[in-house]
Amino acid sequence: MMPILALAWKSLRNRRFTALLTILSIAFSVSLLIGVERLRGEVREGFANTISGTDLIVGARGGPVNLLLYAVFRIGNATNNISWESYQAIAALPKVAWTIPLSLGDSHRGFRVLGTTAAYFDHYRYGRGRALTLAQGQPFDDLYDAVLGSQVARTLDYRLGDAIVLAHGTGEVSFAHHADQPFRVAGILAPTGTPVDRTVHVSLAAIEAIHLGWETGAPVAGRAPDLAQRRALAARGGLTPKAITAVLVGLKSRIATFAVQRAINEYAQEPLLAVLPGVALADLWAVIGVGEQALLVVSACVVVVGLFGMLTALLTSLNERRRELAILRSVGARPAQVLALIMGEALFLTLLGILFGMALLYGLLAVAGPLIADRLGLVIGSGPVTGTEGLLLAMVLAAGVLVGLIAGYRAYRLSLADGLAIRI
Amino acid sequence: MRLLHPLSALLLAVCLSGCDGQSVGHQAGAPNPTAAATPAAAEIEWDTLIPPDWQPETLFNQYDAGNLMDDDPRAKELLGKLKQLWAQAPVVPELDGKRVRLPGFVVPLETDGTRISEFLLVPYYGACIHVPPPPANQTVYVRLPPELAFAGKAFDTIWVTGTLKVTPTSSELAEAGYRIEATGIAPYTDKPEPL
Repeated sequence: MMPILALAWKSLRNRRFTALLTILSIAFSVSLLIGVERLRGEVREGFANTISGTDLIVGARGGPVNLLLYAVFRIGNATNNISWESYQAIAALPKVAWTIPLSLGDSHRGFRVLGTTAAYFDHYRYGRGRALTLAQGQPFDDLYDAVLGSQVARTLDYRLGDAIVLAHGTGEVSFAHHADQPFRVAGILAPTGTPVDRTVHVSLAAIEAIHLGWETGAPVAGRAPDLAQRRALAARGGLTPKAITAVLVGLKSRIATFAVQRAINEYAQEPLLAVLPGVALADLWAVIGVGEQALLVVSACVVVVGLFGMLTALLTSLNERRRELAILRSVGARPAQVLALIMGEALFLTLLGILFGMALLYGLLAVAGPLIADRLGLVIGSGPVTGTEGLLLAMVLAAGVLVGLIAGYRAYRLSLADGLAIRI
Repeated sequence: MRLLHPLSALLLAVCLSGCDGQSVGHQAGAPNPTAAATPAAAEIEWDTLIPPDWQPETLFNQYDAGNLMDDDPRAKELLGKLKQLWAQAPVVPELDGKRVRLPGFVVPLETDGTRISEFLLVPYYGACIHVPPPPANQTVYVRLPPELAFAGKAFDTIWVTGTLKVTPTSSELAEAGYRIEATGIAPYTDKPEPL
């Protein structure tokens, strides 16, 4: 067997140009396949890691997935707000340990602004129970203090103490700014890889303050109080919000989850919806998981195309090598040995393709990984090959050997006379 | 129409029967081939978790439910009382410390995207919007050690083996209910019989 493999290797080296092209096409398809598989895992994990430790998400009655999207992922908009009285009723339930009120609807240069309380920094958890940490500064203290997510600070190049102006609405560009009330950057959060990185956090009172005078839907000239009046109002406690967008709820015991969910869903004063984050995540994943599966199927198809390329190259080479194979036969090689030769070549081609493909992938991850993490907040790990990836690679190798078998079978069938006869 | 209000009737019906459709563990003696793996654990049914003397359905006799008019205030009173009873949902303290094996649906609480490390085990879930989620004595809280984390999807059916811990009454520190300190999980292989 060894001499045949050595012969296969030498034969490939003899046709190194076509062999290299075949290896490259397999390498590209393999790096795409494994890259997609890795991306899939990261997206899935990043997705599940966005929220942790929260037992219920409460919002206005609507869809659980919609509630999860706007409250946690800051995607889309709330169907309705919930009243402050309802929030206080939820917070006062005996089984509730803590609550984080969330108020959404404004933005700063395309980044969502979240009105909340200090409870957010104390109780919000992501990625299996990790708490938020401040890279610089402190949580908001003053009425016009803002705490930035890491990506906001990096993209817009903000530093502690900078003044920022919030815009009304959630567009990237806005024509209605709250320019009369600049905020001061009080703190910058450490990166989390979650939507928190793309959020500007201010206090609930600040959200109320910037909207004083906006009650009719647009600022009314001469009606809006000035900064000093707003601060005075805040000091009197007059900026308690009338409504908030959603609430994150933590319970004293997780056994009570269903009981509290039921109590909130049956709350008589206002139609509310309480969902379990894990259940809503599963619902959402059921929708987008299909796209992720499709991506893997497409990349698997690319591998198949690559292997077909190898089959073509091998079959074409058989025509050129009729004499070579006939000479091998005439010096005593059995048809089975010719078959083994071709299969050996296919094995080498696939193996080298996989090796190059993985090298290419790791190279790309090393170069582009930090960039992707920066832009998309996706950290694609360059760790060792996982079990699933190993399985995929083994399948590619098996398919490669199968391709070799097809080409080899053809060589096996070619008679001795075929190669030695004078072609007309 | 000498019937209950349709909605009340529906609620009453489901309170007693659970949601038809998906339900596991209520079929008597569903044999399982993997049961032999942990001989020490006794296979229990969800009904075991309800005290035998707790029978909210006896209320029906008191109220003569079949002859109540649609808008009879007593029908509303009955529904209110039933809801209240189910909200209390007493547990069976004698089960504390028993090694058990219980099948159910996984309602995920904590996941990392591929594995579920904390979940509530319930006898029925999903697809049925007409009933509220299961009461406290039909819910078991399971927290798995990292090496046992369940590599599956939400609402998969599994067997959980472990020691049952019962908190008999609610207090400031703990909530009444069941918890299993799991030592093993296995996929539920028996197809739930169509009801």
